[in-house]
Amino acid sequence: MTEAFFVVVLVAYLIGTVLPLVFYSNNRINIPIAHAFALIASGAGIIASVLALTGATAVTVTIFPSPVFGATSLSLDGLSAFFLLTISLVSLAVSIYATPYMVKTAGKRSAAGFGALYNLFLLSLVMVVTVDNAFYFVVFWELMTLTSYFLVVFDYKKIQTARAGFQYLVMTHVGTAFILFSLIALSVHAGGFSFAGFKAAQASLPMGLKNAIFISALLGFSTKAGLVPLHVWLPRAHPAAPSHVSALMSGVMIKTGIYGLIRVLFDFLSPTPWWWGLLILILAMVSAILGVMYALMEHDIKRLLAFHSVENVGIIMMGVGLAVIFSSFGFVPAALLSLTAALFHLINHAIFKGLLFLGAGSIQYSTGTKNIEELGGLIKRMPTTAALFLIGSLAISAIPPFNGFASEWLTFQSILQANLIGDVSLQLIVLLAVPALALTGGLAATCFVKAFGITFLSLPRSERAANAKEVPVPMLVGMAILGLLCLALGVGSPVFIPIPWHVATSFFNGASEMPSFNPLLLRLPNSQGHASMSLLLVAALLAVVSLASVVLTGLRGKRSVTTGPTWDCGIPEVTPRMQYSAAAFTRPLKIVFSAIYQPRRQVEVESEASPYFPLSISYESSLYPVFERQLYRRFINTLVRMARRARMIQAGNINLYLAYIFATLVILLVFVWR
Amino acid sequence: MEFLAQKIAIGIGQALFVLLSAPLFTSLMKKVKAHFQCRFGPGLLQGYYDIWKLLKKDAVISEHASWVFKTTPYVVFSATFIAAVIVPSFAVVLPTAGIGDAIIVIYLLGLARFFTAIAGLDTGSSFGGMGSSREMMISSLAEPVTMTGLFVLAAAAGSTDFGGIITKSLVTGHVQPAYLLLFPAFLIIAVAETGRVPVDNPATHLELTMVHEAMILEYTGRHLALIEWAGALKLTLLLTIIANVFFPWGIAESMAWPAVMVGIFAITAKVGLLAIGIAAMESMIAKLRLFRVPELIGGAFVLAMLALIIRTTGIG
Repeated sequence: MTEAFFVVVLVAYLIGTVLPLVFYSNNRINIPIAHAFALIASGAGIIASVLALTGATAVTVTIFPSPVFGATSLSLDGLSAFFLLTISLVSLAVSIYATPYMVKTAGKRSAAGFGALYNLFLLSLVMVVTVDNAFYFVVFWELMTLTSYFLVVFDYKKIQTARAGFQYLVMTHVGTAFILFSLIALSVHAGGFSFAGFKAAQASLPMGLKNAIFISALLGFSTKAGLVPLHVWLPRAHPAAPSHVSALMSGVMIKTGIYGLIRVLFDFLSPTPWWWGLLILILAMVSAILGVMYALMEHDIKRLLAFHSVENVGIIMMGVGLAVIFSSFGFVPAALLSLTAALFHLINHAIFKGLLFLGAGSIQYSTGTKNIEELGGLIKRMPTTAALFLIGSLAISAIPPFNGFASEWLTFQSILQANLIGDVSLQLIVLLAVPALALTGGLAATCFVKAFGITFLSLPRSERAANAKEVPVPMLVGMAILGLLCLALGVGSPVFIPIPWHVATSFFNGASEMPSFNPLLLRLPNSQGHASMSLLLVAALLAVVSLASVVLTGLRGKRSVTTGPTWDCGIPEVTPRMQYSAAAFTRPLKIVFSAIYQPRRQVEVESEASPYFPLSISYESSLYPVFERQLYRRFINTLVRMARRARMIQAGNINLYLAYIFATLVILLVFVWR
Repeated sequence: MEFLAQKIAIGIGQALFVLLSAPLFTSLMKKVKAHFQCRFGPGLLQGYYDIWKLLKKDAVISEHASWVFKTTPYVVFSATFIAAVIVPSFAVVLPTAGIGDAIIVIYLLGLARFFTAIAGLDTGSSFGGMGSSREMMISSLAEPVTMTGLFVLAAAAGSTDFGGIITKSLVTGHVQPAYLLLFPAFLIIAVAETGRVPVDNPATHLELTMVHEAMILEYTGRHLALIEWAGALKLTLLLTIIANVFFPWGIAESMAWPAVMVGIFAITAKVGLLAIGIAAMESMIAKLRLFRVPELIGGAFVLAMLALIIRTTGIG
């Protein structure tokens, strides 16, 4: 059964890759076809992964055997099935959403190639998380990188898009080089490319090699995942792509980096030393805080969301880092709890970030702009989009009863397990994650009050926003699916959490007591006591109490609700220019954290006679992330300088090149002769 | 069966108690402040009269407002109310405590704040935006302090449930260094979160100094009544946490009626005293400039971190 559905996934994506190209010149046919097959594949993917997660044994599908590199088989063990579920849930919603969006975005250009790449990209995602052979892992990884590159540069005529694409390509390939190193080292040691072989040989890995493999895997995979300081490509590349692709990239693709890291850490390199976990945890905290801080200052809605991906990857990685620390000390239940929190937040982030990017796509679809300073009042023009975007905003700000809160709650509970650690200084560093996570949550809420408030509420700030219209039904349906999932995974968390819990158990030896997840309450066995939380009750009570207060306050006789103008201090009329702008909204925090932001601003006032009556004022403010200046600029400058030096041997004279060849030949001959 | 009935009775009793006692404490604070200003001030029932009066009045809503503005009072009220119901006030083990733990209480207040802030932006008034912006700044700085403080307590108790935390302070009994450091930190947070001097001034309607009042400036009638009531509930809930964690005396440890009666008396007295203390403090110090507030909260953060270090290293 499971195999059959899994094969459907692969075949449907393959057909979806080929068929749109057949109808190359007709967008009316190729766009729906591409997304219909992606939709079938995602549906089958959901079924296959749920079956695999509830079933007992792992499922394997062999595609083609190779005498050199071993058979290419795709297998659905717990972790793979969990990632397949994440991918399929998001791609299902995105594929429903994409058709009308692409029709408008493509315009007169043929979308056939794009549709084909879209399917190929999804196929490569599925294969990356299911393949069990290091060689093909790298092949599919490259396929994923390249297809996503072409999806990003769809709008290649824009200079920013082309540059963002280039930066993405360079960064991910540097990352791939590190991944390649760690996988090759593993396969040399294990004497084969199969993951099962890696697993069998892990006990005999020498410590030095193990550390080298870990460091390079961390560098490689966290480049893909967008962990600070390797995230610089992310806020540029994700917004450049068409929005539904951004939803897939931010929601799903960056998670393959986390998949790779979890696979390598817990499957190939265990037992792990504790300092690995500490390193991951510290990077994760920095990512979470810097990610949200830069998101706060961003007024391009898609760049804002991309920075939030950096933040959320940080939160996920906190769980991973904690799991490594706890497992290295042998605290299996605590490690299980942390990894469960990480996996749960991972799927939650995929869902709400998918929703928010689709929402941003809808905004762009009807207004033609991504700049929230030009928007406003959209809630009256696009009511459904607004409601769904609000759900996404609440979920990402970790507000109950939505899913983001449920997984952050679990992360808090995992941090609390730091009590177990004997070493006081380590325990203190781990506990620093508490204020880090809390600050992240608070700033994220601020950021989404801004993003939702400035975009959707009050008066439109431009013609475009004033003329916006609600998006077509398929786009709303795509968003509504994800919006419902945000609520369902929140109130239904006790039902869902056992799934990532079981996935996590496969990495740790020794059965562990399972927290009781009854459908109403989530109870965790802590070291000494327990914690309980029921989002279902909270949601139900919220509904009951608000309804009761509506009814009870409405009881007291007949009172009118009249509409009147907003209080304007006696100035004749409230105009959109009087409203708070996004820049004004975040200015207090910019001042508070100016040590981190190091903002630059330029104010020019032109006045004639008296400075109190200026003719014109121009204000310019810019932020250039400190680490980019300190880290990347220096690195790039050094690289360019070295390249200039290297140019000296490239004189362009053919005789010189012949001389080089001759010299090489002589050296080789001498070398061989000896 | 009888036990269950008693449990339900206590659960409902707790809900009604916090709901109905909340306006009393805000009136008490107004009375104390009036005393410091050599005025008689309104009576202790003024809070109830105000809510009653507002409930009777017509409401005016801005023409630019959307449904967000109209739903916000109900969301704010119910989120704050549920948070208040979770916090044990007169008995340690409340049947309602099963709804959630300390973390969810803080994040339910976050839900209320999120809606208040977007409602502030909804009417297109620059006051609303100003209030939202400032409130979100203050609260996002306060959140790490609150959570760090709660984690010190939770780590001691081994649980994030308020029942466990309060039982722990009942058991340890004696004064502990970590708690001594946390008390002022929590007090600062309570003052910042409820918008009182020196962070904000609930009595002001002077444009440039408003924070919380600026956000809710456009509210009238029953909407305003709910928001005011929620504000009183929030104050009561935060003071209840402080009272029961740091001074757990008198709280009912069983569900026997005499113990419960003592508990009700004790919590009213403790929260009342804290309210008087805060009101006295409010009367004696001046409001801080907005950009000095981060320093105050930073100070609270340092205290919370010190408590964490003391707690972890086992010095105290």
